[in-house]
Amino acid sequence: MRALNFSIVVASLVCLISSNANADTTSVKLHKIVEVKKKGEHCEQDPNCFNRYHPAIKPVARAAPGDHIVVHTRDALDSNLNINSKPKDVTAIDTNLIHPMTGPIYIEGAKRGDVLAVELLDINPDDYGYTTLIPGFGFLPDLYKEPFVANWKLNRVEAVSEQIPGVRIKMNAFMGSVGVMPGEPEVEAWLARETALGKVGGVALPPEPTGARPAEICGANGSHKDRCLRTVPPRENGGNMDVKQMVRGTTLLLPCFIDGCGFFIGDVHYAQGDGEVAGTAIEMGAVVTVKTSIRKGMASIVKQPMFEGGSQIKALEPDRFHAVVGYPLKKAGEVPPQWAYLDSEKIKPLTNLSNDLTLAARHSLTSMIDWLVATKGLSKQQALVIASVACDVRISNMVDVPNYAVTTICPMEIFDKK
Amino acid sequence: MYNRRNAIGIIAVMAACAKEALAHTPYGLWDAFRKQNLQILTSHEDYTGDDLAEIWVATLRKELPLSRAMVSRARNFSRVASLLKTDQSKLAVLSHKQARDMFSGAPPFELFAPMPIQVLLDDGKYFLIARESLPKSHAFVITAALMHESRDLKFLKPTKATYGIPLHPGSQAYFSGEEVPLDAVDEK
Repeated sequence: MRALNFSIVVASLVCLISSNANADTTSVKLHKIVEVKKKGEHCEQDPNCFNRYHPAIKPVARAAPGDHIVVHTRDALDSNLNINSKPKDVTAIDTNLIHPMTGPIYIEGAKRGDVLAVELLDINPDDYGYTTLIPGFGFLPDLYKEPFVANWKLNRVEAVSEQIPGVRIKMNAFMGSVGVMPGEPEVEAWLARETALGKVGGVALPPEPTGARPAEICGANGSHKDRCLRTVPPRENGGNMDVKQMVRGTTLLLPCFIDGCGFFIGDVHYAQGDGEVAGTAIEMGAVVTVKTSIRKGMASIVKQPMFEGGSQIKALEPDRFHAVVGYPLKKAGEVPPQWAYLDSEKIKPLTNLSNDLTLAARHSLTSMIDWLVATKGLSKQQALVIASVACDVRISNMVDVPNYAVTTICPMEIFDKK
Repeated sequence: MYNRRNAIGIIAVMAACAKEALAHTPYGLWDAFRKQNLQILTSHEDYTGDDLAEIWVATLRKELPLSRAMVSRARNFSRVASLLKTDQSKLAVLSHKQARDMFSGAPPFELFAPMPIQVLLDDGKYFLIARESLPKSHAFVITAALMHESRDLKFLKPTKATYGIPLHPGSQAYFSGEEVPLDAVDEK
């Protein structure tokens, strides 16, 4: 009898062990996963990709608040750049394709007038990223005439590039573009204000059907081809904001303009300085994981993107730095491109403008580039890339008239010790 | 007829080209680059054409140094068609087949039809093509600069319409010995 009991106990144990053989923590699932993958090489082949905004664009997935939404994103230029890319590949970039987004995703329970809270849980980078100097683009378009590309090898720790030897850029990834679809009233209002800006010579981006996706809505024969907004400018719906502090652990708040919000992500940056002064950061595709919650009726207060977090901002600060303070100073006879559309002849002969942060930023940045060239043995192109991916252009004061100050702060730990 | 002093006129070529393109591309400043560089498109889908374009560009840089001629390599020929169609670029090197398909709107170029392209030069396998809006005098200067080295570059005298693609009036003018004043930069 005792032997039988012993056998039963052993058998039970074996049974217990065998039945739980796969029951480690991996088997415990607490979150529903909603995954939106890329299909095809480029946005034009991908039903989960779009590069224009319009509320008629249908959701490609649905998720409930709390679900882990895993989104596979494309690089900002929808490019075919790779580790061997050359400057001549940069100059043929087709601006009609910028920026491809993955989505939209319908968030169940969200209505127009609500706020969508998006917590960033994780970003898994591609192996490759790039930083381009595209002549005519970026914050110093008049000073850089030749194309350049830095091809970066990426992992979850740091980025290195043969084009900028001796430099290591720490991963501080964030969603360069993230947002929600506009509603019909927003489309009309935003088109109207941008059209007015374009009429006075400002850089406004009218609808462009060529290369637009989804083609059946925004393309040449699309149902709303004249109302599809470009994804280049950030607006109240978020989009291409390029805010480096929106890192893992922070929560982005977006007003919802349509039921289900039409959430999307694209254009992930591996690392970027405040200002993204070259026009590109370390651009890459990535796999992004977020979860959402809904703040009912809060869009009356949150009328534009806001975000919140804790100590994440501290982690972005450099260990060692060099900083250059700039003022609104320039050469006599110079009208930098940012002012040209106003046709201002008044500022041309001046060497000092009043209360002008943009000119102070230009002064600070160009001086920092000169310092990097002089002390680090870099070319001007390499220095601008470093400024774009690692240095922060920050407002220092907006009170000390006429010389409001902007400071460019560059981390020094990115340079290998010699 | 053509001489190297005409190189100065190529700057005006680019200025006029970019002025037109402003309305079509998102970055007005981006066009500042294409205003200052004679950009010739190729594609990653055809490295033979890309190599050939580099040779032609080297000749243009020698004959017309102020043109700042350069090759820009798009990811595929659909993007070349897009850049031409939306006036982001004016010139491309295309094989006869690519040019014929692009001009006729054959796949994968259906969405871009009709393509406003014309032939500047032909080496028997490849064309240098241009948007029809490239001003006559500019096409004349480019044609003349390349024909200056025609023995090495093996250019043929193009017929008036190959595969139905018309010869650009500026190129036509060069081959017929016509005088084209360079100051007429704004003509179409």
